[in-house]
Amino acid sequence: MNECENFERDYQRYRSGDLPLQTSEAHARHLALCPHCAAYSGAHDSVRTLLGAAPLYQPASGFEDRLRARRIEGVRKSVGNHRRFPVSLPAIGAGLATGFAIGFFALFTPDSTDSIPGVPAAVVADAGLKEKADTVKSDRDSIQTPTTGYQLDRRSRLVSGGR
Amino acid sequence: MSYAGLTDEEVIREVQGGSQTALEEIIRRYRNPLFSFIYRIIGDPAFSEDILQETFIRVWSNRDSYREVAKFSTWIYTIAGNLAKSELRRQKIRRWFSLSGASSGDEDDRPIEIADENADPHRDLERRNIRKRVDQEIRKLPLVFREVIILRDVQELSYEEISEILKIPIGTVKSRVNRARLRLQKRLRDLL
Repeated sequence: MNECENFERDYQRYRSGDLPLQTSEAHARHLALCPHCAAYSGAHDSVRTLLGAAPLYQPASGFEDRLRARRIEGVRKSVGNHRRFPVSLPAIGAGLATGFAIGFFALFTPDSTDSIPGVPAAVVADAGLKEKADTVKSDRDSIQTPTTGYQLDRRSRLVSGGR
Repeated sequence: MSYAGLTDEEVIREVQGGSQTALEEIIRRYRNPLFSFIYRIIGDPAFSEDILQETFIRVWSNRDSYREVAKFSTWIYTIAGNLAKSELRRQKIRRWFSLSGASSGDEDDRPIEIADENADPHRDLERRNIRKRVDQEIRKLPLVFREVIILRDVQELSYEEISEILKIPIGTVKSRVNRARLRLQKRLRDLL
């Protein structure tokens, strides 16, 4: 039985002539004497014959026309896609990244109340411009205050008028 | 220009040069073998044609990626095989999500033309039945056995070619062919 197992294990190599001559001859001798291995080999041959006789199928008629139509449609679609997205994806990505970077710096840069916009901090300190900046800031606040007061006064007058 | 005497590799070189007529020659040569291969893998003529079309479209669009170190036949069978396997996976998912238990393709009885049809009308029905049965049994095999047995015993490619197409060692191809034949032999006993 061991010889049968060896034969089955080596069968494909035996049939394709890949085995050393000595092993191949030993299998041939065994095959001539063993009904089990003869049946095994016969089964392979018959399946192979059966499958080998299987027909070639072909696609339904007009295949080339349908293929041509699909290729044309594919080209049209790709052109349509280019029109729909005139800007390439990398460009969109770069734009988004730039936008995020600007937003990030706008949010997280230090508060500019101690400096004058567009003038380096060292220059501001050396030239005594800091006081001027503070003056401008306090003036701005003082301008806003009366407006708020006016609104309050007006509202209270309106309320009092209503009464 | 006539491509009759040229090898596949010579014709694909013309395709790489942009020749549409060379592509038509490739289509003419591979249309039926590839369709048979795909149809036996997935078992549905409509999907098979769809995959066949996609295969040729990819041959055209990826023509520059083909290198002559491999045989053209192994390259095109690899494309078709990968597309067929992707379609099988999609079909599995569709069946999984389908409430109605959509057909597996076996029930599809749309007519499919058969090349090399023998004209003998008396034996035609019997032959058709045998072919149908053989195809059914091939389709029942697990995919790993199905693809090797189709490529080896139906398409008659060499072990080396199959090994390249499926990206598996030759020893594995041989062992799978062996096991597939044994399974088929058991199932087709009444026809043998």
